Amino acid sequence: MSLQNPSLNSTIKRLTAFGGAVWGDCYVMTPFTEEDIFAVFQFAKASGKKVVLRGAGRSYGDASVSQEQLAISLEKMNSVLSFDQTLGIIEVQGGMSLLELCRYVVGYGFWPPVVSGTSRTTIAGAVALNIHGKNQYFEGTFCEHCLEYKLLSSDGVLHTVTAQSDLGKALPGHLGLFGVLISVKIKLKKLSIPFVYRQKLPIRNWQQQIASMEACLSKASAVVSWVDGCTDGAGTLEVAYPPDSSSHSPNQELDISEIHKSNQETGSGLGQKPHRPLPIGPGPHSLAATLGPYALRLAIQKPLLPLTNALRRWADRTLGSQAKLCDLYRFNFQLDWLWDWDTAYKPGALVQFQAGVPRAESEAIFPALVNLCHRRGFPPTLLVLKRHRPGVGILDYLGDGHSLAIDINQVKGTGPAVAALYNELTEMILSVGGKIYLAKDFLLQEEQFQRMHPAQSISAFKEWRRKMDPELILTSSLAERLNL
Amino acid sequence: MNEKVIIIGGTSGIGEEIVRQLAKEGASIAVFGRNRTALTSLHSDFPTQVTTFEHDVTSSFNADSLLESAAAELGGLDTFIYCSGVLHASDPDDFDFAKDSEMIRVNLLGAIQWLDAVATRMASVKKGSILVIGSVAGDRPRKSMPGYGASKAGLHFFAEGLRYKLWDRGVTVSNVKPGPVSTPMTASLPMPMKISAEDAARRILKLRHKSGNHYLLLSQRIIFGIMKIVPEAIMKRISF
Repeated sequence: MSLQNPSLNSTIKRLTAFGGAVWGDCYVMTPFTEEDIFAVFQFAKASGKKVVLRGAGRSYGDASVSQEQLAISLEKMNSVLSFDQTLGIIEVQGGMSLLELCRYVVGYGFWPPVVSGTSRTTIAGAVALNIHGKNQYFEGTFCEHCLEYKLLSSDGVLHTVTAQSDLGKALPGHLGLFGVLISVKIKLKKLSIPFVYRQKLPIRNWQQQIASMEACLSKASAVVSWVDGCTDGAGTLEVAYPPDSSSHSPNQELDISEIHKSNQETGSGLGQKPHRPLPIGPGPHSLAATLGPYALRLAIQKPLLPLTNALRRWADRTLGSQAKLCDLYRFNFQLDWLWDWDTAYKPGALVQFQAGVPRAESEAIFPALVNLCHRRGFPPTLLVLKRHRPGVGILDYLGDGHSLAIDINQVKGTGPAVAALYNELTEMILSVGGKIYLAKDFLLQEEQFQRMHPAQSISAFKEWRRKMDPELILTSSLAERLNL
Repeated sequence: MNEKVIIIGGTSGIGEEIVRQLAKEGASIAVFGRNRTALTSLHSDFPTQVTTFEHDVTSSFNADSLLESAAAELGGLDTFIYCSGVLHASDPDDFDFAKDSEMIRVNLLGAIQWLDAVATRMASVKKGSILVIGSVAGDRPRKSMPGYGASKAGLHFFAEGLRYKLWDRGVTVSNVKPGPVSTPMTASLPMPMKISAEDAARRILKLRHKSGNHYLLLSQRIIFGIMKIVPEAIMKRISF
């Protein structure tokens, strides 16, 4: 904390959204306690500044970015406060990352029911953006497994909020605008072993994508499809089955030696407590991690992209078509395989457009979105298709349907063209009653946002924000842009 | 996003021209200067782009605080330009501490105070461009302007040191050394080959993101390059 210093100048940092497309310079405060946080609020009020809340900065959007304001980073508030090993209920501080949480609980035979594609997300960020993973259809969103929150509002009051209370129902996806999440109580999932059976199925086109995904819902525990953006929906459907399920492959028995081997690698065996860094890809400081982004940069260049995608599909088809045991880290946190892989998009940026659409519209709208990207000269570097059930939260984007995430390589100097494309994609989504995921967004316009969500939902969100933070001390570029 | 620029000494001469040309490029600019009338004029010419701050670099001031205010007005900071400068040419019998110290305070100490604050911010953010207006007079002392030459030579040294300090943090430091330019500051001085302030500003702005020491014209680079190696016995006899 540097509030004792009358000058903030030395605390300024560039807060960049994941992908590097949007940023802002803010005076970053790193509190250790609730008192420190309240001191930041008081300082903000005295100096006429506002406060933006910053987690791990893994969101593609501008929810944790602002310009020339104070920023609270919760990185030092990352402890476990309590853990009931019988009930599988853990209370952790908001600055703890998913990886830290997983490392802590997996040795006791538990796992968070919902995690994102990266383990670097903080718990406070996971609640603020109500994250979901590959199992959203089955397990819902992150907040559906939170039992209680401790929220510090800008007036210094520490609210204990149960998930069933009115505020508890408003908190999922509060975008960091209601208060600082000091701690969260989470109901964990009991594991028999920290593995799933993973199977990768080759898919030929969009129709098959939707149909195959639907077909495996009854037996799977998670499902996601990696779609080749240079084809008509060809890709790899990745399905996870519970390890105790017989549906994955009736003839395959659990290979105990493989489990032991993996446990030794990850330190994640039942009853074990050592938690060394996990071997999810090369280590962050290894030569492979250093060179990896350069190789990826080459692979995502327009002329090479079809070849890159075809190779990936071939590898999946060749190596992954049989159901195999896969530890939960490797299955869930595939985005962490290559540390800081988003730097492959430099000196440009990675823009991700993610929208949810009703089930009946998916098959028609997704190919149209991809075709538009091609016509505008931005072939998607990756498409990720997921199946969803309705989410919780006032401004949630999920319904009974699918979501598609489109990765766009914003080459340096093409920002306005990408913004125009994003606008067109948004209008197409709006035309079928879809919604944009705010965690990934920095380009949605206020008028589009108002057409996207019911007026009473937007009003309800604004009312809660003003009730919890009457002076609107908490802010973000997203809140300013959408006039929340 | 449009470029966000802070200019110290933007109310006359090269500084004012830089402000006007940047505004025409679409930049957002915070202008610091002493001349209230000129500040008002700049703001009324570019009301949505130019924010003004009345400021005297020789007064006691908190550069950190002013920097925070200006950056808050602009919504960030990309480029910092230090243009403030005074020139008191001296006669053969003129040894005036008041004039010399004013030049040191405006041309060098004011710059250092601002540059330290800006460098702190840009090093932390790991991005930004710094441009200072040096002078060919800082390359080699001359009998007509020892105080001015000393202040500009000091500025050159400081800027170069800063450049070495910041090179690996994404910050560029550019030191431009204009030769004779037609400005109110040089109006009374008999200088040959003057270029207009508009031309100088245009050339300077092209160099604002390029680290290094820069001359504006090839001819100046050659002439003042030769000046650096002219023997002292000759320098004693040259009147300018």
